Amino acid sequence: MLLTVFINIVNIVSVMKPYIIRLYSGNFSSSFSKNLAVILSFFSLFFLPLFTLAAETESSIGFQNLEKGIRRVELQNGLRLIMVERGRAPVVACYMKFLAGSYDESWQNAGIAHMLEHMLFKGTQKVGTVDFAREEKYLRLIVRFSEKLDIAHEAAKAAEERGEGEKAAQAKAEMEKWRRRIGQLKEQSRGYIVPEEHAYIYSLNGAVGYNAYTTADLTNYQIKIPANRLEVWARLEADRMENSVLRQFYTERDVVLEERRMRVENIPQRKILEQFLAKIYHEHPYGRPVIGPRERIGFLSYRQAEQFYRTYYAPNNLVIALVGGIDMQKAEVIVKKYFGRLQPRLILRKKTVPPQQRQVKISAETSGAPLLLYSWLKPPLPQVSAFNLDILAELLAGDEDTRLHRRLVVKEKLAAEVSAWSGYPGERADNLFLIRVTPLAGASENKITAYLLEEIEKISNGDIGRDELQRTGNRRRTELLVGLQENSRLADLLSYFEIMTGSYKNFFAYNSYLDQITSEQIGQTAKRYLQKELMMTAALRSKESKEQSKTSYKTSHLLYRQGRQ
Amino acid sequence: MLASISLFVNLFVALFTDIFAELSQGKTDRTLSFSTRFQKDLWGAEPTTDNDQPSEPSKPNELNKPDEPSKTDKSRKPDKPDKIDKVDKKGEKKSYKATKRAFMNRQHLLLQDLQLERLHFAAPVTTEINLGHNAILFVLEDDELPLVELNLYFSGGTDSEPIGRAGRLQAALQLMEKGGAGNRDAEQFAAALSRLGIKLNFFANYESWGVSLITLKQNFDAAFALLKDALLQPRLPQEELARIKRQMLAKITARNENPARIAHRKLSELLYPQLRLGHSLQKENIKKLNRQDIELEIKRRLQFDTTYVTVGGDIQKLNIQVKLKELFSQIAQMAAAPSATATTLSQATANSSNSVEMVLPELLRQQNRRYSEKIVLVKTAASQTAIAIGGYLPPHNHPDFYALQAGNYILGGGSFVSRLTREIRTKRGLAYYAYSYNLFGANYGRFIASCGTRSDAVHESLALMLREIKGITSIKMEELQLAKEAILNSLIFQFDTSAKILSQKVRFRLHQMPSDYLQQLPQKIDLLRIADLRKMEDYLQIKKLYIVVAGPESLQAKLEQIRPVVVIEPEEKLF
Repeated sequence: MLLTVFINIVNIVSVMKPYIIRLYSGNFSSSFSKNLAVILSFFSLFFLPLFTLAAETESSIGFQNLEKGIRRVELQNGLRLIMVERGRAPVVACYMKFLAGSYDESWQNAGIAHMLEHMLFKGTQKVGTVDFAREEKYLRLIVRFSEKLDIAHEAAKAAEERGEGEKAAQAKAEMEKWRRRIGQLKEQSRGYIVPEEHAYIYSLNGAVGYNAYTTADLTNYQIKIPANRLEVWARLEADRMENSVLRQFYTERDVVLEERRMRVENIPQRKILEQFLAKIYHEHPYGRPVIGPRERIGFLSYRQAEQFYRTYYAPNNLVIALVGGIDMQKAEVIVKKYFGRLQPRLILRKKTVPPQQRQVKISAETSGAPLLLYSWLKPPLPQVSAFNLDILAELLAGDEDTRLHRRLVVKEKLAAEVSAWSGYPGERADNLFLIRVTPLAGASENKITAYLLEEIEKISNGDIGRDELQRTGNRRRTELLVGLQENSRLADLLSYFEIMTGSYKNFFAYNSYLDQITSEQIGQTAKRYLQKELMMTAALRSKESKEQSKTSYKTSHLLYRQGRQ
Repeated sequence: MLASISLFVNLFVALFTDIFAELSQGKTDRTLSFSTRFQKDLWGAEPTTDNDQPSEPSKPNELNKPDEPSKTDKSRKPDKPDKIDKVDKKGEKKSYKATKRAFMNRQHLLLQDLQLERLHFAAPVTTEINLGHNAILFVLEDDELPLVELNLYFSGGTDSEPIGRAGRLQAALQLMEKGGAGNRDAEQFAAALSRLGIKLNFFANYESWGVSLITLKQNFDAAFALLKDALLQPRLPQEELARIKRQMLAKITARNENPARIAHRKLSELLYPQLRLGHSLQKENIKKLNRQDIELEIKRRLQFDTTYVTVGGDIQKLNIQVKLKELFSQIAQMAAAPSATATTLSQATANSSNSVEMVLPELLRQQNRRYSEKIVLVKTAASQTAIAIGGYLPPHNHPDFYALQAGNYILGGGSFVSRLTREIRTKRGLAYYAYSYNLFGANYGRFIASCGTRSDAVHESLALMLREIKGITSIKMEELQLAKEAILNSLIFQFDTSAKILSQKVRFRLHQMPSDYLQQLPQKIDLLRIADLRKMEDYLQIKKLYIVVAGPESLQAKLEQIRPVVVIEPEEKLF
């Protein structure tokens, strides 16, 4: 009996991953500004482990109904389609995920996955142009001149760094020349370009939430559309995934630079997190920010984007989830009609050397909110221990009814907030277990660290009450169910599990696991991975540490998704 | 009449389709022949593969009726063809124009050959029940998931909080939520909630405050008992209040990190001097908060005028109505009962009743006139500068609401198809975000436009924003049509979750919207004419708009070219 249970666990867990959700906040009137509110309010994402309701029969029924209603189809070209017919309103959430993220980049093209995501909003050979054949001539010239401009720019930068003023001036003059020519070409080609035509057509059709995001692991495209217009979506998207024209690449690159300023440069907490990852991961792809390093974004090229597109945007690397008031049979016909003819491609993925355990301890100063990060390397989720750590993160600091909150915030009054994650920045390679503390002004860092380690040690010794474990799980259950009310959340979730683990069913399997996990299992995992000696830290300290800088951001979770809007 | 128009349109489209096809065939290069194939595959109605079912013949949705092509023609700004001619052969000038016109009808082609089924939808009916004691219940059953969601909304939010007391309501609610209640202390209370997976949150906004409960159906009774405890018997422990105050103070310290937040906060202060609506919490007020104040606040707040209750989810056999009636009669008794604090309470209420603050733009304009036609530059060191422009609008239930919404869609609300995004982001790459929105409440409305950009592009971006706002006086037919269709066709998303349907019910009640507001909305939008959108001009006159820029002080000189600049610190008081 014991043995079977164990084997079951291994089977289930070997295909499990956590998922990501997006939190919206703010109270604006239009959906666009709603998205912006997300950005403005330091929009946050976190991993949420999912648990099923196996313990409560009644609840399980509701859940099973959902699972039974799911239909999965694999097209001949390898595209996987997951459909759920549900809800009262005739609307459908359409999510498309490619297994292509910053993990698939190299140092040379860091940031290209996200850049390409932006470029897929620029139209195709038929959308966004009045005559592609003629526009293309300009497009090619603009690309060629822009490459020259970039070369001159690099030269100018290098010369400036070496202090060679004359060379720098020469290069700058050359830059000016190319800029002028590009400007002329842009002006001349403008007549052929119809900006934002995809958005235009979607708006006419009442679609909302036309957007996309890129993570370390994948790229996602999403929209919600009235159900009777599913075919409009299919026509546009099948075309977009095959025939995109990366027009206005160099203008969009400036937009991405602005995006980086907004998301990273403007936010000291985000900056130190980037430095932290770089120190931990070195050459490993997870060491580079998804949006790309500041000094490289400005040199990303059209060719790199085009190559990334041709390499990874293949039907066999794509999962589509449609959730809402659809007729599944008809939806399947529509998807087959438009996506069925996309040609599969052989995708060779380079092997990545796993990150090495290093001693990392960094710090920086800020005039804003201080921050302490504690982190440990952990294996990606196919391993049981990684899953256990996922639950541990919730148990330690997933809520106010948790150990670390009680200890650091309530009892010792050292912190304004504490939270924990498992699985940052992605789940395709060894990643991080992270604890994040917002210290109060004047609080002793050493004390915070000592108490934190003390709590982890208790857990390593198996000191977890049944009640504590149960509370952890039940909190998550409600959270999960609440999330499932939204079509878009369910679509996001199912497509995530399908593309990351090979089957959406793992989402449900993952949930059943919770009822089997024991305190000992969590304790053993903590003992192995969360050792004091393996801990890496980053500290963002207040400049005027004497002044009261007890700052906190309720919503300032770590963010690692770069969205279009 | 309608039929003849659509026939005409069909003919028109067919005509241009042919021209387009001809042009395409005339070309032989790879890309174009590809395009032709593409056109057939993608836009043409090719038979589907395997289990092809003929879709039911149906009329294309009315809302998809194409624009009149001649009007479309004008609105798509034709870019100077002479410049193109420098590169292309002279003889192609004509075909360029023809192609362009053909294109203009292409999206209609896309929609036309699609057999869109009619959207069948009847908005789910919410039941309205009077619970007595001025409490109204809205119920919407939905048994897909074994969840129950209950919300109580008490009328009066921060709008009835004098600015000297700002923050008290928020602190009181947090203390009710986290301080423990009945026979449980804070820790026991939190554990009881998570043991059953219950989410219990108190909230406050400008017009109401309340509590929200989410629970598995099977735990509803226990959950409701916990809610009742928190509402009627909160423990309000000192040390928890101290912690809440610490957190509130910390938030004030942290609020000056992000330039966009600073710009929006200062703009609110500027628009609503001396009003809670524009007030930023002050440390000295938070430090003053004490347990007695909080207790008074809660007592006072429970003497509400009206309560709205929403219940959604799997509620069969839960007897919710009975439980709620009990709750409200208990609240009524508490309010009526004489108690030790009765005198203090009546004093407190007498000093400041539940009266809602008056938001009168004319008056406010007097008070903030020293900033009118100026730019307020808030000093920040961040690498991206934030621009926020704001002005007054009428309240939600004003007849101009519909025109303002459509107009804003065109200006900056329509995401990528809006003028602000197109001009500032798409065309020039100056910003990641550039948008506008209207915000409506029961007794106020405001327009906000915003943009984030690098320091050396602030002047250009602000000038563009002002240009586009000014330019809203000329709206093209095609733009209005797009706005209308986008708004109408996406209306269905107002109904996609029961939570949304229920919370809107309450919001519209609080805003005193007509009872058939949502039913009337499609017609009101559909009837809008360009002349109606002219109403915006008055609200959005440039001289009536206030501008805040959060960025480096060095911007001052350049910004002076647009308007005189007043430089302030993020925490400096404007009045």
